[in-house]
Amino acid sequence: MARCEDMTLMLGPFEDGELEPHEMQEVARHLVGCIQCDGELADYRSLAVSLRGAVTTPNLTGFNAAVLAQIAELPIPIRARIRRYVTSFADGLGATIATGFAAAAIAVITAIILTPYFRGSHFNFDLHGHQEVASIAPLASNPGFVPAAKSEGALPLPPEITTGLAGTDDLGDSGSAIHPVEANSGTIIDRLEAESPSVAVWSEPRSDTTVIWVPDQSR
Amino acid sequence: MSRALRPDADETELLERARNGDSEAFGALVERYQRRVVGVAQAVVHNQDDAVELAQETFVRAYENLAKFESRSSFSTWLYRIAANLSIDFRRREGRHQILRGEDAETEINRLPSPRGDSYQETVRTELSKRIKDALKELTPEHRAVILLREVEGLSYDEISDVLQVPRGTVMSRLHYARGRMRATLKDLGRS
Repeated sequence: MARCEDMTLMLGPFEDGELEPHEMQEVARHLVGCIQCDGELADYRSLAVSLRGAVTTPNLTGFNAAVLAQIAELPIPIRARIRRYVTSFADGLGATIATGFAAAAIAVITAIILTPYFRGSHFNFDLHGHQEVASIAPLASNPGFVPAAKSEGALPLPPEITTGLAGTDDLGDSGSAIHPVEANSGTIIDRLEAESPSVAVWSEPRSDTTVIWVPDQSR
Repeated sequence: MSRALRPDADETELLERARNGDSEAFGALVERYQRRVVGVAQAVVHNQDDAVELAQETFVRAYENLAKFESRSSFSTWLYRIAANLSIDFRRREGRHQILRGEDAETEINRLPSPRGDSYQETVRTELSKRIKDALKELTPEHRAVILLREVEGLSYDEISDVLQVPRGTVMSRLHYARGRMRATLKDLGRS
């Protein structure tokens, strides 16, 4: 049997449940046969009860409010300020994005309709019209080519061209104008340039296209 | 935008919200731990008014340093450690052993509940309380803090070790000494 001097150090932790399991068993076995240690343990228990009864808790009414009041007076740290700002910004972000998209869409539509961008694109349509005119030349090399000025649904060729073509048509009556044998691009270009000095004609070898530049008729 | 606070809100959630400046969430944490924080401070300074003030300061300090709190220890242990440090500093600053002042002790004794209203029982209880307080006076602040944290606040040895920042073995030896000393003092008082 363990000695009481050895046990006395373990009685408190035994009461508090802070011993290892094998130590708990050892103390418990000792207490069964030792009145002195058992009495000491009983004293510890009654001391704990007395202490809990004697030490009173102060009245804590208003404690929470007092703490929060002190906290409210604290200067807000910069990090906390930034965090709060970000949080509030994130809350309103959905509405901001929707509004932003709507504003951007309106701005784009306005820019297209009311600004020079729109006019610029209209100008491009004019150029496109000229390109259509330019595409006549390759057609001229085809055996079934009909001069634009004479065909139905003709492109609006300027008078220089139509005059020139009319002349060639006249020549064609004699079998020498746009004859399949003679109607190559070089001949046509030479003839057009000779008969109508204000018309520029050149060949684009890369695209295999003959370009006819006609001055603006509105002037 | 502040979300509504659930009565059973998780401590982690409360801490996160408190970190973001939600005072309502921090108020819930104060409500949850105020009694024990006051108890820890009271165990060290042994004066109720000082303990309440120190506990309030504890919560303010905790709020200021919430960003530094890492969840390696529990929030409650962290709070108790702040309270114990502030209380130990206070005791050193005051340069006195804060035993219950005479008037304060009488007030406390009068506050003790009287379940049966029996005058004899009340006299016995008052007398016993007085003896306990006298026995506590005989202890050093270090021994008194340990026995009160254990017996009144119910902290484990490891928690006491963490809060007071002393080894577990020191907690055990101080507790053993305090119990033995109080037992002896109470027996002497009983005989006299």
